[in-house]
Amino acid sequence: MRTSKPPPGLEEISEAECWELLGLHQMGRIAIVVDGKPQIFPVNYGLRGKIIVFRTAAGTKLAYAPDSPVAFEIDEYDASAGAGWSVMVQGLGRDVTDAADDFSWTARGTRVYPIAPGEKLHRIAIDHSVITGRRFRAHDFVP
Amino acid sequence: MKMKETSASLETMAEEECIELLVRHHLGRIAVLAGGQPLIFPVNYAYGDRLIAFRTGTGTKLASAPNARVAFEIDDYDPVTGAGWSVVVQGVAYEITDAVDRQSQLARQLLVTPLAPGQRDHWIGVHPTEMSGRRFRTTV
Repeated sequence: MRTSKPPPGLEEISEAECWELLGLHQMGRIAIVVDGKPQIFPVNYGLRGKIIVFRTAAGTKLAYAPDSPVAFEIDEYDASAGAGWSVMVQGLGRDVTDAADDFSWTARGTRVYPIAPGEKLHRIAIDHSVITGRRFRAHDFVP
Repeated sequence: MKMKETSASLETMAEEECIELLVRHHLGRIAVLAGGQPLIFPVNYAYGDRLIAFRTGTGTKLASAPNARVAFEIDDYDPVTGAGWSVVVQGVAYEITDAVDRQSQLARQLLVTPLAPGQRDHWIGVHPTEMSGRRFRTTV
């Protein structure tokens, strides 16, 4: 399910650089499917290897992310430099709070500090399948 | 698994405040479903008359968004002050490129200049069905 090639002026970010960018940031957005409809939430996340982990309390994310297709996105736009980029990860959500498999053990080693308050005792990880990124600059803008 | 000690506050925003933030900002993220897989794309948008409008070329957003349920999000966080907020919208997306209703015509008049290059001849309008926002402050 690859999207079409980016138009000229839009630069694709390599997979390695996408992971590097994910390692440098702490805040992203998770999209999950709730009753056939997409929902999106901002989350603080941590990265261990190629596993994205975030913490959550009992609620929509915990009820609908595990064992379901999810998307995760980070982006940045610098208005003064006129440059921006975005990275999107597609994968399967997994509740790694207590599970004893290797993936969950690795995921639990991630340090995640949620910015928004509230007890967030559960950990959800993303088992990625596709990662894509793109970079754009202001002088390439089409009016 | 000890949490960092924080003193923090979290408050829910009224819909008027969510709308105010949607009007003031122009970069958001749209979540669509493509064959059961959620996808997230950053978009330049404009908000007016209860419609979120953005432009797109022929691609995943045009193939997946029209006549479908979508989600839309904007947020901001200042690590210096520890203050942040987010607004989340659920709604239905329509292609409004040629629509002649007043709301669609108004949306097309709003300036929506895509930051990313490329041909973006199609207009998508998102009618919000639910909107929520929260504001938080953390002192680590």
